[in-house]
Amino acid sequence: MKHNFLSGEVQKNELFVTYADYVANRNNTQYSEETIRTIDNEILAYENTNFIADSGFETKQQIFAIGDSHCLFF
Amino acid sequence: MKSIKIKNHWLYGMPITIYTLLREGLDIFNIGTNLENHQGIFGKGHSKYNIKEKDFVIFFFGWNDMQKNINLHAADRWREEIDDLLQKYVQTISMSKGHIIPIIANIYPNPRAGADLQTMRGSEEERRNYFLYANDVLRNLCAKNGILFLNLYELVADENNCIREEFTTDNIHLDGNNLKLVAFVEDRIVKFCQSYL
Repeated sequence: MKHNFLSGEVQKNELFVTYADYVANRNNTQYSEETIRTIDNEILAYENTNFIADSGFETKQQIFAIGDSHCLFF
Repeated sequence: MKSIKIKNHWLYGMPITIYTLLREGLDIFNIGTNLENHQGIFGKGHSKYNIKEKDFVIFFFGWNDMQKNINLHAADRWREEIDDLLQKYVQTISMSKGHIIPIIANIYPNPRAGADLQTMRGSEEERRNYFLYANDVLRNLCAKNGILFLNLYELVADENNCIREEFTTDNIHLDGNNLKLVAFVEDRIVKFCQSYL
């Protein structure tokens, strides 16, 4: 399994989906739960340690939201 | 599509109002580092934020102040109280410039009918007056102080200034399990941040 986020793609076997498509369709996919967990973990690990090429963000620069109980989705 | 995950969690031990934020302060580079025992309760795996120099930090405070405390403590002088509170809020956050890239977000709208309103103070109209006024004040103060202002209000509010029905399951909060909503909002925020790089 290879996840090439730098090009905006998730590659799994013969299947190519964009990250956005993956997120949008995550609950309606033919992936097994184990595969979803694996991809989720790899996405999280990637996002926690990398930046997105050509995005303008510096290496490991991140976006955080902090606040009260109405912090974005909470 | 380029994307970057946004860490957005309300953490145990965090100030839950602007008032407590100003009174108690916040060690922004050590959020959650002493909260291992609470991990999984509020932090959901992101209890250790590890905010670093130059990171974008979006401040989402004010909802509890507007929904609960303004009416309780300053109903007869709410404009003056909001002016004073938000001026100190923006000034405090502006002091972090040079270390982080601070962003102040708008205050979210009223809960929908059916929400648990036991802790709210003031009528729906009064609370609506508070946060609409506060968002105007915040926008102006951010402009004056050179702070980025993130405005998601039109996205999350309906025509009655309540949180949109399709985006909430408890009639109060945005639904973090709505993955299309999450992806859309995060993409919008990333583009917002990119525009200031």
